[in-house]
This record gives sequence, structure tokens and C-alpha cells, in this order.
Amino acid sequence: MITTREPPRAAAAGDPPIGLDPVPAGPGWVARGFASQFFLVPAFFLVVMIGWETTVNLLRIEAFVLPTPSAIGLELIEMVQSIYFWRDAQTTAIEMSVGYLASVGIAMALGLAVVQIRIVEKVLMPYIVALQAVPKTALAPVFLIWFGFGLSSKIVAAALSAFFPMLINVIVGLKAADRDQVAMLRSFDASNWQTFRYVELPGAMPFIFAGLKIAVVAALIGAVVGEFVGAQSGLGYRILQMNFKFNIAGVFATMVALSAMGLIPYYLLQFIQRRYVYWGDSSQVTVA
Amino acid sequence: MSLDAADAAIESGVTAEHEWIRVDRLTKIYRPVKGAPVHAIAEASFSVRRGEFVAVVGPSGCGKTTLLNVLAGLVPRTSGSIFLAGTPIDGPRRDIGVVFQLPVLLPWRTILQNVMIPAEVQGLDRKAAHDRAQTLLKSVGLAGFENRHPNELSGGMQQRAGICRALIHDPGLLLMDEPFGALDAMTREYMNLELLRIWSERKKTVLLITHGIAEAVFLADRVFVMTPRPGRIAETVDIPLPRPRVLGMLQSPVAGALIERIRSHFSDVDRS
Repeated sequence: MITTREPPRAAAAGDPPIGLDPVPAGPGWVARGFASQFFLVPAFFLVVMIGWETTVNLLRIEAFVLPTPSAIGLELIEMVQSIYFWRDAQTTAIEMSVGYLASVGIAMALGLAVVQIRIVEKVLMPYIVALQAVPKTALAPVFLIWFGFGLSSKIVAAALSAFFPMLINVIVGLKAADRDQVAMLRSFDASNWQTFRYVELPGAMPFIFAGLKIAVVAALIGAVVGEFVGAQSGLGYRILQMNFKFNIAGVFATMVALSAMGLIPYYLLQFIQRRYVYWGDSSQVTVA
Repeated sequence: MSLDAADAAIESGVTAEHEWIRVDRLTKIYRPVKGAPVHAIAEASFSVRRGEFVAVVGPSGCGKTTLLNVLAGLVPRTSGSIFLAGTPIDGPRRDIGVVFQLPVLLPWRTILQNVMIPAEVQGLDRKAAHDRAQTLLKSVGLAGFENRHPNELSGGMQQRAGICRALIHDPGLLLMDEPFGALDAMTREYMNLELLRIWSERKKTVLLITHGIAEAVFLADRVFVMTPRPGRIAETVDIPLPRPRVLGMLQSPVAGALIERIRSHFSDVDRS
């Protein structure tokens, strides 16, 4: 299952008291959360980069096989000054976001229908489960034939790869409604709509956000694969061009840009979730 | 008393004050998809006076929670009849407030917003309900916690908020399903006294489910003793302890005899 749950912001009743935290091993100042966040993570990056650089230099690996990080860095600086790069980035961003939004919209609507209407669930659920396992990117060549070399075929590829993680999370989330909470609402004579609004939807929000985050990255992958199959612009197209020219540093630099395009919306969603969907797993409040 | 009787007569026209709740040959059989049907309640008949405090006591699996769920209109009955204030209970009703085993507060709402749920759901006047919620929270010692979230409160505080929620729409009947079962013994004792205070101040009818015999004797006017398989009311025990009740009363010989008498039903069950 593609669901993840974020840890609740505030401590749940079952958490161990703060004083009983396991004592971190190693020198105290390194093991602190702050240090690992702001020192260890960049330090690790630096060590890997230096190791990479020296290995490539020592073994005299050709630049068209594996470029050094410094070469990639230089390529990156050059790239962001090029109007062609920004045109490609814009293309991919449009494909990704249009595909993503369409897919999220449809997945939400279909997820609601599946959960609310018995017959829809009965008929569609086996197909949803089966289709989830199909590698959707394998369909990209067909989309090219159906929707052409322009944006549409990539939008469809992006939408399709974002669709299932979103749909599954909407369904699982809405079905995960706490039974006691539903009974509580019903005992006060709440309607089905009120039960949905008060309990089922907010209870599903942690799952929905997990779906939104997975789907945004999946949409990017779908768009790039779509471009690989046949395109006139886009970052996937750019990677192919660089590859043909044996400009492997350019391929890596474009990959850095692609990662940023995935990570920025991902962490934006993460930020929104932390701020507004703070209940997460603590929905089952236990009596201390 | 006579005023209450007049109210009851006006409300129902026919229901006498001493039969404010009337349960007649109530039966509930669960028929699982697999396995044999379960007789959760078999032909239970009883009535409850308006303003009375009744406790239903029994071991787990004796059908007492089913009884509460049927009274709350959450579970349909198999046969028999239940009347509250002269009208049959065929589904959730707005003149009933339910307190659950766990507080069941919504973690995305503040304490005040949680208490307001029944008022919002039933479309009551928001301003009036808001004031009422504040008063209720204050009366159970939760003033100042209105804007906290449930996970910031202890279990006892959460359950007190749960009681406020059950009272916000001013129901005549309060149904409580082992409301203090998950609390530690000391908090539980304190909550029992709180409950008696709320009950005597607000003149509600209370039906409380519990597996604590001493608790039932301490709180109730009458105790319904339920025995399992099939769940039936084996005996109704009057509790003649004076009110207001104080904790020391449980040490009296009268209370001791009552507890023993109720317990005798379950020692038979244990041996079978």
C-alpha cells in the first residue's frame, strides 16, 4: 500500500515521557537533532562529493562516462543562464502541473464515489487494485500516437502516473474513519453529510496529503517519461539531447533541476500539512 | 416532583412520570454472516422514572453495551418496544446525550468546538449554545481549556469534556457507557462525585453502564443486574442510601449488603 502517515505534531498520550528518551550514542553535540540537521547532512554531502571528485580524477574516468561534481556544478551555472533551459523547464512544469491537477481532481471525485456508493466500489475496486500494479509509463508510446508530440501526450502520462497513488490514498483515508467518532456523531442525530464533514473528511486528510505528495513526484516522472518517448521541448527532451552529445555533465545538471522541480512542491505540501493537518496519527486519542 | 410530573404529562400526554423510559420485552439478536446468532439481550423489560439515576451492572459480554446502543438508537432492536417520553426510540434522538467509554473527542477541534458538535449538528442557536458550553466547561473545571486541543488534556479532563458535549443540547436522558472505565481509581472516584453533582444540579435522567458494582451502588437509585448469554436483567436492586451521597457511605453495612447481593449473581456466572 502506498500510504504513509506523518507523525503527529503534538505528543500523543501514549508517548514516553520526555525524560525517558533513549540517550543518544556518540559525542553529545554531534548526535543532537539540531547538529544532524544543520551540520551532519551538509557534511555528508561534502564528503561524498569530495570522494566522487577524487575517485574520478585518480582513476582518470572520462568526462563522457562520469563527470566530476565540479564539472556538473559549472554546467549547472551555465545552464541556468540559458534561455533554452528555462523554456524546457517551463514545458515540463506545465505538463507536470496540468497533469497533476487533473489527476488529483479526478482521483478525489472517483475516490469519494467509491467510498460513498456501494455499487461503484463493488464494480471498480478490483480494476483499481489490478491497474495499480500495471507500469503506467509503458503506455507512454501509445499516448504519443493518441495525443501527438505536443504537450497533451505528456500531460496524460503525468496524470496517469499521479492518479493511482492519489486515488488509493483518498479511498484508504476515507475508509479509515474512526468508528467511535462516527458513532458519536450519529448518536447526536447527525446526517450522513454531517458525519462526512465532521469526521470522515478530516480523518482522511493525513492520507490525502500523503497522496498529494506522492502524486506530485509521480506526475513529474510521468511527464519526463512522456518526453523521453518523443518531444520537442522539456527537461526530459533536454536530457536526451545532452546524452546524444555525450554531455553527461549536462545530463546530471538537468537531473538536479528535475529533482528541484519534484522536491519544491513536495516540501511545500509537507509544510502545509504540518501546519494545517496536525492531527495525523493522534486521531485515536487514548485515555492516559 | 409534582412539577416534573406535570412536565412529563404535558410532553407525552400519556406517559406517567414513573415510566419515562419504558422498555418492554426488548430482544436483540446479532446474526453474524458466519457462526451462530448471538442473543445479546433477551426479553428485557424495565422502566425508569424521570430524573432517576439507574445503573446497569454486569460482566463484560452480558449485553449491557448493546442495551445502551439500542437505547441510543445506534443499533436496531430485534423485537420488543422502547419508549422515551411516550415516543418510540427508532433511531438517534435529540433528547438523548451519550457519553462513551472513551472520550471520542475530535483531535482537529478545540475542546470548545468539540463540546459544540451536537449543537452545530442539530442547528441550535449558536450564541446560546456557545454560552452554554462555556458554562458547562466551567462547571466541570475546564475553564481556560476551551481553546486547547484534546491531546493537550489528561484522560479525565477529556472525559469531562465528553460529558459537557453530551449535555450541550440539554437532553432529558443521559446514556453513559462505562464512562470512567479507562480512568485510574482516584480520578474515577472524583469523576463519580462530579457526575452526581451534575446530575443533582441539572435534573437529568441517567442510565449508566458499568462493570463496577461499588460504583453502581454509590451512584444509582436503582441497579439493574445483567447476566450474560443470553443477556437478561436478573434483578433490579433498590439502593436506599440517602442523598447527597458521600464516599464513606460505601463502608456502611447497608451498602456492603447491597454489593454482596449484586455480586452473588456473578459468582454463579463465574462457576458456570
